[in-house]
Amino acid sequence: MKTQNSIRFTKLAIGTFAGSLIVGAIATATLIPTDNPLQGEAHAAWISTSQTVTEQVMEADAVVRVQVLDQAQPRHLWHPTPAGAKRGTFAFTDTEVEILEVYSGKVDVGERIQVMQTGGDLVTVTGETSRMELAEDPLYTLGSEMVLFLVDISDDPVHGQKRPLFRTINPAGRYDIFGGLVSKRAWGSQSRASQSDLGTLEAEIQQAVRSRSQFESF
Amino acid sequence: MKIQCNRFQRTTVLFTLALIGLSTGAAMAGYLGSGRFNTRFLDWRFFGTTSANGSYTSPVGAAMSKWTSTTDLQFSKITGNNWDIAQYVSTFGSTGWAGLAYICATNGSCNNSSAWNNTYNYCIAYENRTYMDGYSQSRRQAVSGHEAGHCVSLAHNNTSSSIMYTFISSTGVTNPNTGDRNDVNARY
Repeated sequence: MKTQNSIRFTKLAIGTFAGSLIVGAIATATLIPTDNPLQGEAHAAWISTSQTVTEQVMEADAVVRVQVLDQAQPRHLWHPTPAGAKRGTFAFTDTEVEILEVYSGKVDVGERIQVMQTGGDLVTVTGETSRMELAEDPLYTLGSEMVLFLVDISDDPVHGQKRPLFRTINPAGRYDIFGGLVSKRAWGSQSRASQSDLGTLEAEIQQAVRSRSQFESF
Repeated sequence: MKIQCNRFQRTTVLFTLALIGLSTGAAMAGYLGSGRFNTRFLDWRFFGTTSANGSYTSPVGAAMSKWTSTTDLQFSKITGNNWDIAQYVSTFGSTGWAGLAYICATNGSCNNSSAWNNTYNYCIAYENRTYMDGYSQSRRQAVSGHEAGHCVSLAHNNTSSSIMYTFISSTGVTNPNTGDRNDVNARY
């Protein structure tokens, strides 16, 4: 009798657990606007997988602290083939920033450079203005300060065309600065946004730059 | 060894199991938002330059077929303009990304949380030849399949065996795994 009861209880427990799993998944899928920490992340499949400061320093052509001075009008790439109302327009925005500090790279303090981002303001087919931007790398705002890990794309035939132009290596190569604190958005293996102080980040960068120099001198 | 427990203890155990199940089930599902197409029968069209046709139609087609054969979705390739999903292969330059999905909802919003939480009107899966021309056919299929996954509501995740893995272009996973398939089937 006791054995039968315990079998019955085990079956009930397994059934309850399995049922809850299904209910949880369905509820998330259909009713709740999802508790996924990556929700809102845009859908770009980025090439660079660098996420740690060491990896970022190894990949970047320049590591700098900058302040945003100006944003140019977005450059639009129109796509002729998707027809009618269903058409995609791509925007890329070049932002002028002033370099406040150079941690590595062949750029100078006080220099003004252009940094490209995917996204920008678009006019829709109905004539409304709509902003396209990647959630993990929203468009820079005027006056803001950031530490950026940049790659030089001046030679890129689509965007650079021999003018000086940079972009971040990936969304993890951007640290926003607010009141001495640096924040990093959730992206990649980092499922939550994080904060640290600028001094800590700078120390990490300087250590990574020294390691890179030693590595390159071999 | 036998463990004796009374009715209260059994209820507590069952309640705890239910809570764990609910939270695990919720965590498994990874969506951009609550939005989706209002049908699982979706027409897709390939767009690309003549030079792209030969080298991309096959991996893109394979990616779409894989979703159809492994999930409840029914993707049909068309050549007309009444498509739901466009697979658009072009040269976007040194953007840093190989693929990007652009979702527009019936409320007119595109590529933002409003679009991701409403009924989808159409989706364009962009593939960037600047990087993908150097990819193998299977890696092209991986990126196409990944962007198609976004087009049917799926978000990124941190599971390297998933076609929705954030760094898909480095893994080259071509087939939706069990989690991907379950997520799609739960929504469609």
